[in-house]
Amino acid sequence: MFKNYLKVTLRNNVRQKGYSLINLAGLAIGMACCIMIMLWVQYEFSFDRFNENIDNLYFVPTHQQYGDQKEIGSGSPPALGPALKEDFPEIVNSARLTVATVWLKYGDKHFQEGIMPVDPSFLVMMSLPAVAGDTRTALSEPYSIVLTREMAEKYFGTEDPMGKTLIVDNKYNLTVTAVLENVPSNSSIRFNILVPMSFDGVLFFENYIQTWFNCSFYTLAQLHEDADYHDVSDKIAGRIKQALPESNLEPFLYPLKNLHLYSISGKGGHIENVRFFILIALVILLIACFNFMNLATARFSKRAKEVGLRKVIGAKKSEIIIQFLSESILFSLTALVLALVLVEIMLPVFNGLAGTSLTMNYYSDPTLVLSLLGIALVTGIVAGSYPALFLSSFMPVRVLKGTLVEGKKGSWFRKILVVSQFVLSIILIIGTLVVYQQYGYMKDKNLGFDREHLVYMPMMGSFGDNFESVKSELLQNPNILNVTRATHKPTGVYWNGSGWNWEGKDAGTNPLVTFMGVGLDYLETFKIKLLQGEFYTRQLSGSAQYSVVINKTFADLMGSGSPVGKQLYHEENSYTVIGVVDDFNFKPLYQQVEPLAMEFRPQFFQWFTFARISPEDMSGTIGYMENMWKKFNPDYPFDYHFLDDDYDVLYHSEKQLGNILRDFAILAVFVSCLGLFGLASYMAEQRTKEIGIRKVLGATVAAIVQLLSREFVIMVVVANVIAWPLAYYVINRWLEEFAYRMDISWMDFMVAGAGALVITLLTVSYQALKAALTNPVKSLRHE
Amino acid sequence: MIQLSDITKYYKSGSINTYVLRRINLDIKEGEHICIMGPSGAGKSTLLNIIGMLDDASEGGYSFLDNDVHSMKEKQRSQLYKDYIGFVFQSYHLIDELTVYENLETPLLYKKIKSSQRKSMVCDTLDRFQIVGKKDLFPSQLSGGQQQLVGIARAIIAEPKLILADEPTGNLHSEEGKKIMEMFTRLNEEGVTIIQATHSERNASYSKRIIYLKDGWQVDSL
Repeated sequence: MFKNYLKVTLRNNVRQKGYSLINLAGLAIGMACCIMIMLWVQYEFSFDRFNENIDNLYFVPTHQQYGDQKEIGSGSPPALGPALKEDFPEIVNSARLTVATVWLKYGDKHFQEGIMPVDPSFLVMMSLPAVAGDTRTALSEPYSIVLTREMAEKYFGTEDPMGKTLIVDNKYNLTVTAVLENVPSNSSIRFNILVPMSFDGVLFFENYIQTWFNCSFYTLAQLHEDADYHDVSDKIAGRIKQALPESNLEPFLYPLKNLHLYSISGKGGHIENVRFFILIALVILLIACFNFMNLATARFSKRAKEVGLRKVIGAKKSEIIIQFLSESILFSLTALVLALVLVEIMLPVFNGLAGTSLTMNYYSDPTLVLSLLGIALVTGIVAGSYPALFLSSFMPVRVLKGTLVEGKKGSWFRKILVVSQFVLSIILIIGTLVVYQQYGYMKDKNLGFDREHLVYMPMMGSFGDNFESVKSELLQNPNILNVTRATHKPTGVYWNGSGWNWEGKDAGTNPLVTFMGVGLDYLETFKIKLLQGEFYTRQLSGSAQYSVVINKTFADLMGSGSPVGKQLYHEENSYTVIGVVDDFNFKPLYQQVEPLAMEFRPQFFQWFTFARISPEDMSGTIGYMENMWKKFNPDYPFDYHFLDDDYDVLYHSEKQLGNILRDFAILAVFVSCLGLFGLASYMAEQRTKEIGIRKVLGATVAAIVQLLSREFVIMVVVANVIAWPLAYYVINRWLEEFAYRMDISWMDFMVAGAGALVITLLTVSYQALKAALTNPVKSLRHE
Repeated sequence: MIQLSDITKYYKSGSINTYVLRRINLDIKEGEHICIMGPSGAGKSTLLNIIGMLDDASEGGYSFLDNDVHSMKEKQRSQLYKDYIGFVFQSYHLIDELTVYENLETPLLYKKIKSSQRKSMVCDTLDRFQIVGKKDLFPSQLSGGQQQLVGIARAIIAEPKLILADEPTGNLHSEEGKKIMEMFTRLNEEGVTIIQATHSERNASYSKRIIYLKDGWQVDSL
């Protein structure tokens, strides 16, 4: 029986190659997108699972109380890690990690690197295979260093790094005790270089890693298999307060395997993205299925005769349904093969867009093959269900007599399909436009200071001590307009704390205040406005020790009236407010400006020098700066950056999102057009006789084209009407996560709508024109 | 074999009934060769369709092989006509994507006949109709007369008791038509009941009884 069906469907498809190819292409593209997205989703779900102990590994974030507000922070104090292991039997191991930036030197290789100081237990808890050395002992000595393969190659080339010495910050000698495989891309914890946690104490100061208050560390805990993590989480909540009663921190346990997808605060996290892209995959597949349904039912008149006949010679309704379902499943399987070819071709492009390295592992992953077949099967059944049911319901008599005219119901359904396809495509187009616009908005937004032509250099070693000399030397170059220094770049200042008090402060508020060290001329260099009082000047610097300059947000928080002259109390110190500056953004634009306190304290230990240079002869100016650097800082290579380059990279994920959306929108539109093309040609074919008659009666080519296109134009307009409110809702929700949002303008909707219309007209008019130009004699003769 | 009593068929449009058949009474025995004649629109095809259970009468009773057709469910009915009735159409209605052999095979597939038996039945039929050489050709490669022959072959391959033919020679020229009629005569001699609807006087002459229809009524002569 199936051979019979097979022969019919094969020969049918060969005869109508055009339609079949359009259908196949659309379905294959839809499946290919679906497959790639599913690969990516699988990858996102696989994060951190390479760790053998993953089911027992927990991250230890903290609940933080600021007055009435409760927040969740990922950091925890360094004393917590060892205490957890010591005091709680259910916690079998713990490890702390933190980050630091140092200069590493080997021979002539001298670079600034991010390193990760960790407890030796880190290597025991995580599954990070070693290329050389023993992970169990690699970090037991304080002056050891562990590199990843990539990093080892960078400094040692083909030499064996084991036992060699790397010089840190020109001061410390660390011995390479192990080399690890590169950290897999699906790890939440990323590093290239590990050093023992005790070395972090050396880098800073003795008690640095024993305090209960500095939350710039991360803690990992491994629980006993039988332990209930909710119970243990409750138990450890009071541990910090036990050691430091005035603390507002409560640690809790968070499963490491959830870290990547669900952020610890419950908001954001990659799961949103994952859900979003699963939706997109389904949307595109749906569009392709709609196409299939549309074209299949549109060609019914050719198959109707066969159906009627089969019923007469004895087919039951169920047998007809099975016949057409098998046809569509077969078609879908063929599309799958084509889709797999497409995936192989498109995967490198997708990997480039998403920053991943996904591959199709047919042999090593049996679930992959099964799910592919599953996708094809489901697609075949879903796409084929409507045509199968539709065709099987024909009354044989009417069909064979040729009196079967397409019922109203049939054509309504088809129109609904086309409209839905366009709704989805239009939403995708609008979404793409909005994402790009938001990205551009954030990239170009005025941040409250002028970031053009601003060069910065991290200050190392003696450079920092001689800042005044450096500054005056730089200013001798007429192209260097202002020079200042600060402890942070304004792309992200994350020194903050609570516990700031002032007279008249509302007892319920305990805001998180960011503080930053600044130099003289900070306002001039960055072109920030002073609103009240004064900024640090050379005259004031003597008494500057207990004074701060705050931003407008902080001033507003302190209440009405000028805060200049008022006292701020923090820890044991009291500071006088000497000035208020206008707000400027010192964190990415996801967040509103928070209160900021700027201090002039040369004793701070990290500094960047900022120089505003003239746009003329910039390379000459840089050369001058390089010479100056070599004079003051000969042990370190010249390191400079333009501040606005950093901003280009800051919103990288939004740019990526925009790119991905753009490509999917193009695909969706393309697939919709394929369907539209097929539908239009079918409709033109149906109306050949009518067109012939109209031409004979005197219709012009233009009138015929208009006649045929009109129906489709109406459908696009309806699609727009439906799509616009839906799109508005979706983009509003997406924009909610940004504190600074672009204004949604009518233009986006108009462009999408007009685009859809133009594309439709182009697609349809080809068929319409072809039909309109046919010689009426030919069409009327076939009567 | 067939008893029609007061068969009436009309189509409703709004409150107006358009009558196609009015109070037809017929008694047909096995082995008869009958011709239904009448001008266009007289209701010949409709009557044939009702007999063939492809359509329902609006009023009246129909008994086929002592089965009351009206009270039967769709499934039983289709089983009945599948087993006992073969249809021949004016426009042949072959499946264009299948060869002659495969077209003949299709009704047997629906009757779930085994492969080896199918093969022998198809070969016998090809032989009988002398179209063995054409078994691998597609309908588009055959002449009108040959296609109709295949259509008849397909109708009789499952050995039905009754053949209903609706204008079987309508699209053929006189030579081909003659061949078809001779085939019908042969089949009738073998015991197959044949009911034909036709315009053609010449076709009618091959049959043993003629029923005249005019405007839906059964009349004695035209």
